[in-house]
Parts: sequence; C-alpha cells; structure tokens
Amino acid sequence: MPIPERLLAGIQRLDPLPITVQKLMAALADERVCFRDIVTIIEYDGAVAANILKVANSGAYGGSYRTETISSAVIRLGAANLLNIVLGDHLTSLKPSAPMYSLTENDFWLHSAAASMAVKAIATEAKTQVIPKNAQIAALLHDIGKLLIARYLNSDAADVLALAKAKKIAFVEAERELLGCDHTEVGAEMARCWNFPEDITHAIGHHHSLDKGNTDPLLDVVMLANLAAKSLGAGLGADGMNFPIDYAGSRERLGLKVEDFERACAQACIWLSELKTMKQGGIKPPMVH
Amino acid sequence: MSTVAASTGNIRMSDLESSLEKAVSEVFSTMLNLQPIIVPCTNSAVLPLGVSAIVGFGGKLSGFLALHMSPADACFLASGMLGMGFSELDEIVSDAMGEIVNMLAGGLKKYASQTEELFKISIPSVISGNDYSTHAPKDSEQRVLQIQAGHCSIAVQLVVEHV
Repeated sequence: MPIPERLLAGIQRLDPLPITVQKLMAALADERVCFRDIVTIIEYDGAVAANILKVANSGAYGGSYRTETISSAVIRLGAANLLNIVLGDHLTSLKPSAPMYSLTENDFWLHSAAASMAVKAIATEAKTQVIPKNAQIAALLHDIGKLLIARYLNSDAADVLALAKAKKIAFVEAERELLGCDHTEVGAEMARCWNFPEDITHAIGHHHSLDKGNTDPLLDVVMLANLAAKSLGAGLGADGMNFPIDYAGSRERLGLKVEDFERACAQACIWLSELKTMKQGGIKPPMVH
Repeated sequence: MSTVAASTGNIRMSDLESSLEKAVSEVFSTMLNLQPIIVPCTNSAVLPLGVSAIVGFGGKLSGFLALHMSPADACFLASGMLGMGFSELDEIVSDAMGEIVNMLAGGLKKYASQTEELFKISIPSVISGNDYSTHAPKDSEQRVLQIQAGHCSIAVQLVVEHV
C-alpha cells in the first residue's frame, strides 16, 4: 500500500540527522576508517563528547576506574554501543511524542530504550546465534514511523482501536485500513531517507510482519525486543499488546528457550532501570545540529 | 568441594567459576558480538601467551583475573569490539584488552556478590612479548576457562588467594 502523499512530503522535509551521527554511521561502515578517525568525530562535537564520557563512566559501563579521554571511552563503549548512544541521545533531544498513539515524550523514549536494552540482553542469552551488530540501533528506531504519522495525520488512536476491535484485527492492520499506511512502512521510509543500512531499514519496515520463513536474525531479535519492552510495560501506548508476532518462531530461530527469553526480559528491566537512573541524574541532551 | 576462605566465610570456587562463565558470555556477546564456547580446563593447562591482560582484585576476596591470548587473537577481539580491522598489537588493541578484562572482572563481581560487595577491582595491566610466564601464588586456588570464539582461542585465568 503506497504511503499517503502528505506523509511522503513530511519524510522529504525531515531534518537531516546531526552531522556527528551521519559521520559516525559512514565511518563505522567504512573499512578504511581507523580508530583515530572515530575519536576525532566525537571530539569535534563537544556535547556528544561530554555525553560519551558520562555514559562510559556510568554504572552501566563504568569499570573500576574513571575514563578521562574520548579515546578510552570509545574503547570502553565499543563501536556498536557508540552509535546507539549518540542516536539515542538525538532521539531524546527531539522530544518525541506521539499523542495519537498515547505516547508521551517519556513513553516513546522508554519504549525505544527498553527495546534496545532487550537486544543486548537477548544477545547474552542467544547461545547459538550471533546477534547482528546493528540490532540495537534497529530496535532503538523501530517505532520511529509513529512520530511522523502522529505529526502529519489527523487521526485518533481511539478510531484505530475501535476498528481493530470491530474487525478483530491487529492495531497495525487497523492503522493500514484507516490511515492508508502503518508506522512500520513509514518508519522504513524515514530510515531510507536518513541513509540507514538496509538491514536496519528492513527490520523497521517488517517488525510486525508475520513471516514464518524469516531468515533474518536481526528482524527476529527486533520483534522479540519489541515484545520484551511491551511486556515490561515500557511505553505500551495505545496499541498495547495488540500486535502480531511469531513469538515461538523468532525465539527458536535465535536458539532461545522460553526461560532464556524470560531471563533476557529480567536483565533488560535491570539495565533499563540503571539507564533511567542515569537519565534522571542529569545527562544533558546533545545539541541538535 | 573446593572453597576459598573470604573474610565473611567460605566461598565455593564452583560458584565463582559459574559467575565467571556468565560474565564471559555477557561480555563476549554484547561487547564483541561473538558467541563464546566455554570449556573449563585443568589447572595445568598451557596458557596461550603473547598478550596477557590482568586485573587484580582485593577486599573480602583477593586475587586476579587474567586474559591470555596470542597477538593475532587480541587484534581479532579488538576488531569485534571497535568495529574496525587491526593487524598488529598497538596501544589501542592493548587498551581494548585491558577494557575486556576489566569488564570481565566487573561481571564476576556483579554475579558473585549476591548480598555484599566481595572485592574492589584494580586498574588493568597489559603485558605482551615472546618470553614471559605467569605464576599463581602457591597458596591459592585457580580456575582456567578455555574460550573458543570465532577462530580465537583465549584462556581466562581466575586466581583467588586463601585468606
């Protein structure tokens, strides 16, 4: 189903990602880039640099000693976490809310962060499947389409919910019937516009698809991470638990038993709590470029 | 059953070993994007040498945790951690190995300290070279985990002193 014109125009008008995020994404995807280049990108953005140091010394990552340089903070955080943190902060600085989905600014951030933490927890439990490195970023951004729909379409979650209830269909299907598109398609288009890698775009665009033959572990982990975040009550929103998921299929393809997934949910809950504490501790969002 | 005496009572080495295994799984899967295969091995196992990252700990329990590997394996781990290729053991690779052993010690502390903090962790040291050996104190308990991750073969050595 094509995305309505009004939304497509909105996607075209999207602000570009901050230059630091763009440079980091390009650098981390380029095999010729060296460690010093990554450090330089961070060092040239004072706000991002300060935040990276804070996170590296926080309870979630902090080791036995404080790290005082960007170089050692980058080593401590690792490449995948680095982009996840910088992107997560950009998301926070946008003050995203989607009232149409009953998501306040804090709900949206909470759900995105919980899903990202859940990926990390699932990676610890998945004994036979390596979780792709972009999975945390895909989980962080999986619902980004909701922001644009809430901004450009005049609709009400109550109407979508009523349709879903009347027709006994999932929220995402009711979205498609009522709005002419759903948040996964719009999110994928936004990710394309921002030049995210194809695996991230695909996961955003299919995180509510019920493809029993899915062979993409990144998509499986994002679907499970969304379920984990919802199960923890992190940013449930209007759709709540009304979404399609091949839970057993995704879980088994990642080599997870039921108890492994439950442990991952519990661990994600602990990490999320640590992150909330750190956020309340006054981490300043980076400047929007 | 092997135990080590801490100032608050005996701690089973098997519990420490299990906590260390959890820490290894967590660090390798979340920070290095690798699924480790962990094999406990005998205390007399030959440790791979070339690079050793060591962190000491002290408190109610004292000892050290060390990560031993070849320079090529250190480069492989640093590549996984930092998302870029390394072909020789430089300052960045050494720092990355220090950070990995620091995270492992942090994980061991988190999983082993159920009700009270068992120890504090020192700053990591990284040793490299062709001709060196490591020795555990005579009156200590030791566990060695052999880790296969990708094509790497790494040893994690936990040494706990008897109080």
